[in-house]
Amino acid sequence: MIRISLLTGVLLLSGCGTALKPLDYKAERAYVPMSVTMPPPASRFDQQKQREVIQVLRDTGAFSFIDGGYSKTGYSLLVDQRGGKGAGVLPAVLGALTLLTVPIPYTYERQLHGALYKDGELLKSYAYKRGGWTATTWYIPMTEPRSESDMLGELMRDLDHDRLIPYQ
Amino acid sequence: MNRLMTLSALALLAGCATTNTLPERELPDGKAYLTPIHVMVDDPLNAAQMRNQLRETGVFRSVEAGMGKPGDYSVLIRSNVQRDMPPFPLLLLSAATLFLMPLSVSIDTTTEFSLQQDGKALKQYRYRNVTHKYSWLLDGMGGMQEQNGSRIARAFAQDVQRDGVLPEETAQ
Amino acid sequence: MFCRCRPLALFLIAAALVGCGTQSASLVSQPLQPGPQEPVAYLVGSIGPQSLAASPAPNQRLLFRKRGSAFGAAGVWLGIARGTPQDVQDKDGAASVFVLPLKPGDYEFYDFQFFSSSYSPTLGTTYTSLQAREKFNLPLRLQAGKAYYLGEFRSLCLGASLCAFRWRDQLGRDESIARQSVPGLPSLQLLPLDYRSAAPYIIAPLPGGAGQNPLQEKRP
Repeated sequence: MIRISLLTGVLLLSGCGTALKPLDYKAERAYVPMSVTMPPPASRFDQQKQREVIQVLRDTGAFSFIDGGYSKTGYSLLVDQRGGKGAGVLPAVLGALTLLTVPIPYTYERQLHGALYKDGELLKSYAYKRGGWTATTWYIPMTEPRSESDMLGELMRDLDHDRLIPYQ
Repeated sequence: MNRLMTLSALALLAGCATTNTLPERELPDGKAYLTPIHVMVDDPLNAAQMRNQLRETGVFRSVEAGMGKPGDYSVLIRSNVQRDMPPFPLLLLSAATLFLMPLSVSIDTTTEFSLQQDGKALKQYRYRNVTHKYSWLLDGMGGMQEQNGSRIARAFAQDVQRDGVLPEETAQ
Repeated sequence: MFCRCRPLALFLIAAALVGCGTQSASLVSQPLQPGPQEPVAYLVGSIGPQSLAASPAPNQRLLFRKRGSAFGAAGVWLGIARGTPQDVQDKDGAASVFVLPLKPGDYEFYDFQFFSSSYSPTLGTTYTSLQAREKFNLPLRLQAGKAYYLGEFRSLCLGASLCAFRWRDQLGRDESIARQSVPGLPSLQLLPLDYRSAAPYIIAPLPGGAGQNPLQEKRP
């Protein structure tokens, strides 16, 4: 919790955008009305992230109608971005102390788990992972939001390819 | 001087009450429940709140999520929410007075309910509610969104009951 | 000065100790409370954790409301120092019996609540409240002069947020406990509700008598 808030404060002050980038996937047809669920948000930060995820999913044009929650009838997609790790306390503090000019390298990892349910039964589950090295400076663009957008785009492409959800 | 201050304080506090443009509806008590409806809301983060507000009306036997099986009645809800905050200089001025200066806040919601059965549209309902409030330090903006949504849900429930499109629930 | 303070200090100590008594397990909001000469309907039940060690929250409630209104009532179990009377104590858990005097009419059993406060040196006091995300609706039609028995609700939890209530019929045991707190209670009649619509929050045996598998699928 402390390291997340410290890192967020540092990054927001530095002007590095943490907002999710639009996906590079555009749908040709829209799915039938279905629900997209995410685990209950643990903080206001999580709430904002969930709003962004829903917005980029809507912008792909793949969803005609996005409901929330589980339903015993119809299709539900569970999108889970938990797991993974960000910068530790040391890189964040050192980066803040050097005013984000000296690159302090750290490894990050982001995960995405998707699960498609029909009438309450699991049809298929998807798992993606992205990780790498980056540094806490203002002149190196943030790679975490791009990783998250990449994984969401890949999930949408896989859903389109699997043809498990009918189109409207 | 004391009387003047008391009167102006009372005027300010009374003027800080929340107003809604959609009138409050009285739901009659003791009537039979209407058959269960399956509700889908085009807003995943607030879908549960909208369904809970429909449950609170006490008009429907149950409000389920999802589309329902063939033969069930379903409601598709689309909602457009506009929040209106005062311009930034006023926000700064209010912050400078520790929010003792009231700020005019309004939420403008237009909601469409589409009542369907087996994919066939039975009736459309459309409501607009503008909730307005002068919010300040001791009387914040909490509860405005819920009050806004709750009025719309009650208006929909009363209209559905009056129109008789939904049958009453058959006794188990 | 010291001599004048002594009776005051004794009075304050006595008041604090008296305050360390018990709270009522029955909460009825003011508009739903029947007046002294008005007809009354009673709603009786018991609530508590199945296992005190595995219970995450010391404050557990079953929430009822008057149909279509914001006014409600609750059956409460409090396990902390100034708690509700622990009427039922078995080897692992405890329960309190609640008797709700209500104005007759239509009510709904719609929600539950697990409430706890915990203290940590870094974050201070945090309050957590767990309620059903999608409320359910079990309608209750209460008539004057009758006492209805809902059942015994014992909570079981897997982890901090996956909680459910196990329902059992304990009319005989709870009736005698309820009569001790409300002497003029009419004889209890069991109110059979279809708890399948409240799944997975309330686990009850199917009307046929076959058991149900608890907590099959994970739901947020």
